[in-house]
This record gives sequence, structure tokens and C-alpha cells, in this order.
Amino acid sequence: MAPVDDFQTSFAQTDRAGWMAVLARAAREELQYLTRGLDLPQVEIVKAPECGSLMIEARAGGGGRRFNAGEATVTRCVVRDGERLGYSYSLGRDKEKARLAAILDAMLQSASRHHIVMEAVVAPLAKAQHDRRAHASRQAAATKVEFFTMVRGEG
Amino acid sequence: MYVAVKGGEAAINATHALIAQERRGDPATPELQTRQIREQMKLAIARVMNEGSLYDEDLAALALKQSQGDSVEAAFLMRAYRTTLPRFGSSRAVDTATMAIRRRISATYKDLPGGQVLGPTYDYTHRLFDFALEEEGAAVAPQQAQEPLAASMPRVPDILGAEGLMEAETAPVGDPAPVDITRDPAEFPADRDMRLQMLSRGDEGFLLGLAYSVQRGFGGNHPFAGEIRMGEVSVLYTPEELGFEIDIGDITLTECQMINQFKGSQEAPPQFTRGYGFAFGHSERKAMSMAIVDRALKGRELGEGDKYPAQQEEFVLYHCDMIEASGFVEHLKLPHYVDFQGELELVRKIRQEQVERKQREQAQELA
Amino acid sequence: MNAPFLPGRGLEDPVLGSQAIFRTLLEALSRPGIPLEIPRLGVEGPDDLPVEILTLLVSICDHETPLWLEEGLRASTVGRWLAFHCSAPTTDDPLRASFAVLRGRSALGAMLDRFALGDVRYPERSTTVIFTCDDLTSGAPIALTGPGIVSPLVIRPSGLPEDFLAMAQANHELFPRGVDILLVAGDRLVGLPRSTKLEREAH
Repeated sequence: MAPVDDFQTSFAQTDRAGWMAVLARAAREELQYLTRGLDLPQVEIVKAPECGSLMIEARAGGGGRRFNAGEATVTRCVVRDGERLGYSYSLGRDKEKARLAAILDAMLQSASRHHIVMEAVVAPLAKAQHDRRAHASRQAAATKVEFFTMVRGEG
Repeated sequence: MYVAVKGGEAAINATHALIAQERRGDPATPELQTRQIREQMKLAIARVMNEGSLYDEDLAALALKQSQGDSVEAAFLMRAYRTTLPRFGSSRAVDTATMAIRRRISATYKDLPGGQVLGPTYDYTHRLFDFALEEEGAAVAPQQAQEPLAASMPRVPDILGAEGLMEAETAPVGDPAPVDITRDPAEFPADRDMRLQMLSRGDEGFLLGLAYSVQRGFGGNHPFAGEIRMGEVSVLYTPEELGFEIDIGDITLTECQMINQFKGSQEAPPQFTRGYGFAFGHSERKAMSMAIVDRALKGRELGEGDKYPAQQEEFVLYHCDMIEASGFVEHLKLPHYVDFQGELELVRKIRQEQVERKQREQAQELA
Repeated sequence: MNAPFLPGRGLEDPVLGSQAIFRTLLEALSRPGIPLEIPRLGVEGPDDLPVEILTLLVSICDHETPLWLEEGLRASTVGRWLAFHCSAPTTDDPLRASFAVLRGRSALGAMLDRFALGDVRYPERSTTVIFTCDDLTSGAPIALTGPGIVSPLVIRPSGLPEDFLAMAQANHELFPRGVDILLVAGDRLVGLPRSTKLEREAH
């Protein structure tokens, strides 16, 4: 079996963590839609999509002692595309999304396919996610109280 | 002691079809979709996720549909399902300081950095029925400000902390991994991490009642709502096999910091002390109640004593879990025929003995 | 971490596969001394350890069960392979180990008393120590008695450290504390829980 170098040196780990975060937040329908025109490689499934749980930790007072606050469902998948391993980990139980995200992670690590996937999939997703968050924040900001300050009895 | 019940299989099978029918209701009415519950009953979803101790909005929606809205039954389904999931590990402790805030208020400081952001709250509704909701309505378009909110807002207790007047909440040396009562049995006395885990799984109603009791004097702390915030945080996790940290998505959280006056004791100087409430989803009443009870349970460490129920950790922590509580209460429906027969015989016997003794006494008096 | 990593293959069916292994281990520890076949489940991994050992480990390890590997194995990719397939961490502190693997031939000794021995309240919080050995038939005879053993049973493992019997006997004396032992020879598994008494066979 050919060795697999899964730490592709062309892309910094932070870049990879960045696109994985975007893919993790995508809905299955979004991934299916955005990849409809792409030539997805035939991959080998190294770790079939699996649903499990992750214990969410929090801190007392927000910054103090750690405690276990409850679990969240998580789905993970690992695929192999030639020399690369593609991983996906995301909240929820969507196995098909996990599979697609793992394939995309593998493609993104390949110098020849990185840019097309970034353009066609990651960039639109990142923008949509950013816009949704900014929209929600602007709506919340509309409920922010503007206090009228009164200057008391001078002169 | 339970008697093995023979027979009844046919009757039991018949119950399944009957509940399915009850759940469906009038077939002429469109069937409830789990999507609808997930989108339109978010606060019920939050409760089920908290008390089921499992963050998954779709599962919580299914649980509510399956249980016809019975939140304890729904939480039970979540807990049962969770036991079938392999545990991948633990997240990094969530950072609520960088929460994407959708609501953030403080009752202690009026004009605080970041401001009072009211968000989607029922606090200013008039508790009058909106009969328009009986029909399907047109979509609402809430206002938008020009700019989004600040990316992060300082926590209120940290503002006071600088003066040294606030009890510090810092991680112990070595930032130890917390206890997990889903893995190891709870042991008393309970440290803070165990208390917070158990409270977060606890029933909102039970904790609300206890919080109320504290405020009415059964616990002696008058709390202030230092801060309540609600919004989204990222879940960060380092898979062992990947070797670096990744962001796997957002969860909605509600966090409450209660600030309490404390006059000091032999164990601690006068200062403000804190209670912490934490809940999945938008779950304010739960977070507030949890924070008040968390503070009451610090009584042992602060030398306040444990005279009142909310200060007694075994009482609070054992009885706030509704899956445990309903298990024991509802087990009474199981056959107790033999025990009861035993009791019946005993009552008859004691009665008989009393009658005979009375007769003997009367006979002696006459003699 | 720049060395090429071979993910190999884990359990094809994690649910049924791990259940088959669990069943085998349960049987081995319930009926000590009786060799059982380790199911072939298509696992592929580093050849520093026999595939049968890898099959056992990938079925029963997870992120809460640190694995202790003997010195010679720590530089291998076994730890990384296991981390990949079941998130299991490795440790070089025997007291923290849930599982330990010693290759009988190269181990410096049986070292059973250095592992986690449990405590009186929680005797199960101990290490399960897995030894690889050459075979179960050509070594010096060891007679086994105790719970789960119908009549004195004799095993003849070869390729174990010289002090194995003495350490196993000392371990038995610690009951209910102590470790549990698994012997793996080829595709055969023998369980020696701490409740089993071991004696050198007279003839």
C-alpha cells in the first residue's frame, strides 16, 4: 500500500483549518448544489461516515474551572484520494454531507484542484455564512438600547 | 419487589398502535413535521437538549413529536439515544467571550461596554394572546441596524473583578479535566465541576422553584443578574488522528452570571460572589435558575451552612434530574402486588391485635 | 509528524466487528486457559505487531483507554494507527494504562506489578496486559485452577518472559486487585484473569 502523506506542505495548517470550518458549517444541500458542476474524484473510504458524540466543555463563570456541559452529535468521515486523506468532522448526523466534505477536503489539499474548489465551493459558502451572521447581528443591534444622556443642573 | 407478569403481550402490542393514533390526532389535520418543530418551537427544543444533555436540534424535534410534547419523555429519548453514540472525545472549553451575540443584558450596569442588546425576548410582550397566530401569518421583516454588534463583549463580572471586589473564577492550577458523571458515579461532597454538570442536566422547573426559595429567604443571598448573554459559539476540537484543532460548527448557548452580596465569614472576606448558569439553546429561565442555585451550593465552601434545601447539594443534585426522578416515581406503576399483599396482612393483623387487647382490658375492668 | 502514514484498514463493520471481538474476550476471561480463535476481520496496520493484536486493540480502545506500548514499539506507527482508527491515546506511564502490549520475546520482564492494579472499591480500574507469545503448546506446563475452570487445565505457552509465572502468581495473590492477562499466539487467545491460580506443573 502506498504511503500517504496527509500533511500537504503547500497549504498551511491554518488554511486547512479555515476551509474545514467553512465546510463543517455547510448544509448538505449547499454542498450538493455547489459541487454539481465539479468532477468529484472516486475516493476510497478509509473511515465510513460515522455518527458519534463530543462532550462539550464549558468554564465556570465563563473563564474558570472546566466542567462537562453536555454532548453534541458529531459525524466524521475520512476518505483517500490517491496520495491524500480528506477528513471531515461536523456537528450533526448528516453522513452524506460528511462524505462530501471529506472529498472536498482531499481535493483542496491537491495543488491542481485547490483553486477551483476554493472558488466554486468554499468562497461562496464562506460569504454566505458571513452574510448570515452579519445579518443576524444587525438585527440584534436594532434591539440595542440607545440611552439618552441628560446633563444635570449646570449653571 | 416486582412480580413477573405473565401474559399481557397482546395488550402491550395494542398500546403501540393506540399511542400512534393519539399522537397523530385528527387525520384531517396536516401531520406535524419535525422540521416545523425545529424551526417554530425553538424554546422547547432547547429544553429537551438541555435535559436530555444532547445538542441536536433535529433529534430534539423528533423527540418532541414522538412524545407528543412531553418534555420529560422527550429528554428520556435523547438520553437513551445518546448511549448508542460512540464518544469521540471532548471539545475545547467553549469561549463565551467571543460569542456571536444575539441578546445580552445586564441588570447591574446600565451603560456597559457592548450595550444592552435586548434580542428576541418575550420580556416586553404584554402576555396578551395574539389571536392572529391562530392563522398562518405573513412573514415579518425585523429591523436591521447599519452595523453589526461588536465581535466580542467583556463579561460584566470581569469589569468588577479588576477592583478586587469580585470572587475570582479562574481555572485551578493545571486546568484539570472535569469529572464526568456519565462515566463515573457521582460522589459527595461534590466539587464545582460535578455540581455544574448535574445542574446543567437538571429540570428547569425544579431549579426555578429552588431559585425562588433562595430569593424568598431560604438561602440568604440576594442575587443580581450581572449578565445574561445568548448567541452562537464555535465548537473547537482536536481529533487525535488529525493532530490539529478544527472548528466543527456553531452551537447556540445561553449564559448567566449572577452576582451576590456576601458579608464574609471565617472562610472568606467580604466581596461579591458569583453563580453561573449555562444552557444549550435559548434557555434563559434555566440559566438564571441554575446560576442562583450554583451560588447557593457554594455555601459549603464559603462557610454559609446548609440549613436550606437549595444549599444541600445531595438534595439538589440528586433530585433535579427528571429522568432519574420520573424513573423512580413512575416505577410505582409496576406491579407491587406481593408487597401490597404483605402490607394488607400486616394491617389486618395489627387491627386484630388492637381489638383483642381492648377486649382484654375491658374484661379486666369488669373483673 | 512528516513520516508517511499508512492508515491501513480498521474494522469494516465497527459495530459487528467490535462485538465479535468483545464476545471472544468475554469468553476468554470467563473460561480461562481455553484457547479461542480471534476472528479475522480484515484489519490492516503496521507490521510491528501481529494483525490479531491490532484487531483486538482497534475493537476495544477508545479515547479514554490509554495504551502502554513497550519501549521498542513506541517509535513505530502503531500509536498513530490506533489514534487514527479509534482516537486512543498512548502513554508511557504504566499506571495510567488501560491496556498494555508486551511482546513476550523482547519484553524486559513481565513487569505486571508496575501497571495499574485497581483499588478495593474499583478493582476494575486496572490495566489489561496483552502478551504476544510464540505458541501455547511447546513451553513449560502451567496448571490453572479457579473460577471458570472446570478441572485443572494445563497451558504451555512459549516465548514469554522468564519471570512470567512468578509475576502472574504474585498478581493472583493481590485479588481482587491486580491485572488481567491475555496471551496471544498467532490467531489464538487465552485469558488469564486475576482470579486464576497458576502453578508450575509437577511433571
